[in-house]
Amino acid sequence: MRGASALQGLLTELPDRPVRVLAVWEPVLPTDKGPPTARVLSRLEDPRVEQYWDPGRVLSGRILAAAHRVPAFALFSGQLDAAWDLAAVYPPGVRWQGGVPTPVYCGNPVVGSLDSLRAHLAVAVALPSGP
Amino acid sequence: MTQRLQTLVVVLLVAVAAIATLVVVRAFPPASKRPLRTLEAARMADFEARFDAARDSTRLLLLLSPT
Repeated sequence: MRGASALQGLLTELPDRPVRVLAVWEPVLPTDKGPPTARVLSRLEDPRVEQYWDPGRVLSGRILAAAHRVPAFALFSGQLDAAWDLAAVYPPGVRWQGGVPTPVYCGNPVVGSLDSLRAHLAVAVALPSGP
Repeated sequence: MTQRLQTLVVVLLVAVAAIATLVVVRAFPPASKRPLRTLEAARMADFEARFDAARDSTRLLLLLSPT
């Protein structure tokens, strides 16, 4: 949950920049009894954020399945349960074809990756838009 | 009632009002401005389409725990 607040801080540093965030919440911890509350959702208040609740950890499963072929997700290759507390950066132009696309960077845990995330976001937003 | 007692009563009332306000605000947080969509295996294509629809932008994919 602290990761969400940290990410909101990063977005605040990039006002009016072409950044879209797909934030997926999933039950991982024993305390995750249901979807995030309004208070939790409000931690990502930026209008460029779309928020999802993934009760079956579908996306996590896709990332675990891709861990053997996507180097950025290799850190999850030994985890059988869930990929979580991650932030993956995709520059303009990348499309979702087949499996989960390859990010230019994947930070885990989010709070511990803020400096790298900031650097990769800065590079990515400076790239020209895709076709 | 002495002036000191009156002051004490006022302070207590203000404190009670502040605590009550805090409790109410915590119990009824402001609704999120944006909807929470449910992601399911059968609707994964919709999620992928949302990702592709923003391909002119830098995208950040987050996976988080609610607690």
